[in-house]
Amino acid sequence: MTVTLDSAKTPTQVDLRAGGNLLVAEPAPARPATEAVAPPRARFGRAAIVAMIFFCLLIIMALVAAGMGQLKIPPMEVAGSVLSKLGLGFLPEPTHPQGDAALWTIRFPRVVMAMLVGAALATAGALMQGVFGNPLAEPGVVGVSSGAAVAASTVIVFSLNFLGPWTIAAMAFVGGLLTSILVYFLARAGGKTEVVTLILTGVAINAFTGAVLAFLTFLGDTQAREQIVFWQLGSLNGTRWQYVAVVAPLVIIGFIAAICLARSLDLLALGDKAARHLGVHVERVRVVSIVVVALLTAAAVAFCGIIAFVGLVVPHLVRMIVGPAHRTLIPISAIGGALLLVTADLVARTAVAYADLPIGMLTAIVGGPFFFWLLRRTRKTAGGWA
Amino acid sequence: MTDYLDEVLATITPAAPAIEITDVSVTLGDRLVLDSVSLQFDVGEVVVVVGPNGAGKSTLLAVLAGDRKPDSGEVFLDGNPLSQLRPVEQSRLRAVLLQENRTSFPFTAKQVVQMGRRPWRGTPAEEQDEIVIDSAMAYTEVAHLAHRTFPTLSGGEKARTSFARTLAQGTMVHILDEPTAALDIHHQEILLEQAKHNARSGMAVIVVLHDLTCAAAYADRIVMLSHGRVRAVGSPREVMTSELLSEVYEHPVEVIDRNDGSGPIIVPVRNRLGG
Repeated sequence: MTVTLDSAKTPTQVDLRAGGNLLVAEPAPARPATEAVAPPRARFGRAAIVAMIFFCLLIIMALVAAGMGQLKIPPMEVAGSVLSKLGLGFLPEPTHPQGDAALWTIRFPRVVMAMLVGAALATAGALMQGVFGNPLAEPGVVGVSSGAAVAASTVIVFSLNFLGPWTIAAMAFVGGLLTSILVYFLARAGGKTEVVTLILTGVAINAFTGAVLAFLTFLGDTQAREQIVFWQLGSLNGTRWQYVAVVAPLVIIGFIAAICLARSLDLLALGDKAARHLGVHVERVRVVSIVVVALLTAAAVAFCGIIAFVGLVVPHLVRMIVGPAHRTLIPISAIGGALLLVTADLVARTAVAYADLPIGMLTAIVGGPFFFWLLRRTRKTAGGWA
Repeated sequence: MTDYLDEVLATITPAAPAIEITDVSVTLGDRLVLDSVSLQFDVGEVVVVVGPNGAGKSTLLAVLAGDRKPDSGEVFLDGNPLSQLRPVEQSRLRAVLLQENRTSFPFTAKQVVQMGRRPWRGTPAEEQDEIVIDSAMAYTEVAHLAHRTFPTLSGGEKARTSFARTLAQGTMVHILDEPTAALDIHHQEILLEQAKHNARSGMAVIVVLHDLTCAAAYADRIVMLSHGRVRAVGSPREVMTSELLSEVYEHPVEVIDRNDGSGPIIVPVRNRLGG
């Protein structure tokens, strides 16, 4: 190796400009006055503030939601009930004789489940959008949720029970994983995901899974039919601690995995080639991400059915507030998703007296038009449908 | 010198060329795009790859960058077969600036440049991140764009920001694919001078250029490709001759020597209709 350091040929002009030989990384002699300083901290500060606000809202909303219903309990007493279990008794406990029982056997599991499912769906959405480099990717839209629902319905119709209480979740995971892989290979061409291809793949998969669900509904007995219908609409009604115990570990594992993938997902935004040039093992990141999306979707779908558009709306709004860096996007989306679902479930329970509206219907009523707006916007910024 | 430099130098095996390809052939469909090409690139030099459309420039760069596995032959990066280096090991040795630069999400220009430091995460070099990023953005004159989002930048601003990202990566080998295509004259000269300076401070710089005058002015060595083969390799004076260029580009080309050390002007001969 011959290092020709021919100083005679190096123009002095360059030496002045390139005082920081970047291999050596010496400080620049004089930075231009236009250079702005201190952005990353400011940005992180903003993300931290947003996260704190979301978190506080989530706590407040959870206390309010747990107190609402046929038996009304003020939020302070709800907090008191929680704190007394922790051995801190400075807040008033529920005054109603059945208050504590109602909270701990019916309301709390449901609120906790809403948080877990909301966080799972929003994280899965953010992850999927990162993998496809496309803000329209979402487990519900592209059919991963319905793939998981088909597998779960199979468990119901044929009364499968080979893994005990985990059977539905495990099958939902397998169904979700297979659908994710299918979508991935069908929608990608030449290292890119075209908007049209992705959406049409979702349409095709949703049509197919819809047919399979219809067939399963036809096969099943009355009880199974009712359960399958409930799948398609999505509901948190009848949530018990046993279900929460199945869902919680899956969501926690999925969330931690998503955080670990965050930096690599940032680089994927540059495109596959550029990401690989920067040291990302692109195929591995994609495969792991798809498995994690399937895991989170399965966790959400397993007991609560299809709740669409949460993974679409939440990450998009969070991206507008704190920017697209996944290290902040994923955790804040998770909190935001939990907040959204706790709120939506409260509306589902209380909007109509003595009725429990399907939550999937509510999220779709809000999310559908939002999806359409996003579609128009993406079309504009992407310069057409290509 | 800093510890950082020692660490970088320690990763360089002195005896090997920075990047080398031996007997590389690539077939696309039934067309032989590269036909047993062997080349060697050393640190300290700017090598400009020229040639007409379809000569195999892009494929050669894809092979060098590891984007395309050659159908036969081998690529060595710093003496190691490319296929045996993990992506992160490759990324600490060579940076690539592609022609098309985009982000799927609205990252800011500064965040894009920061991505260039990813290969050094968890190494002592990470301490230099801020300085390297700021310097890179200052040299490419994009510091004022730091908070603009990448998709809103103009073509030239995107190209400069991406070049800053390539610089920030702090590698021994730079592979640049038509880096000046979107740039005005001022920024084109800044970029090529920076590339030359990088070579002088110990990097190997490989550039594809369409502008032959630029190529002649900044190259230490020119690789001329034609129909998937190396037609000529040598100094600009040796390669940039009217005869050779006219033959390879299948168009009469004039080489006007200015004899002032700034390199010749290379222009096509034009039929001045009505002139």
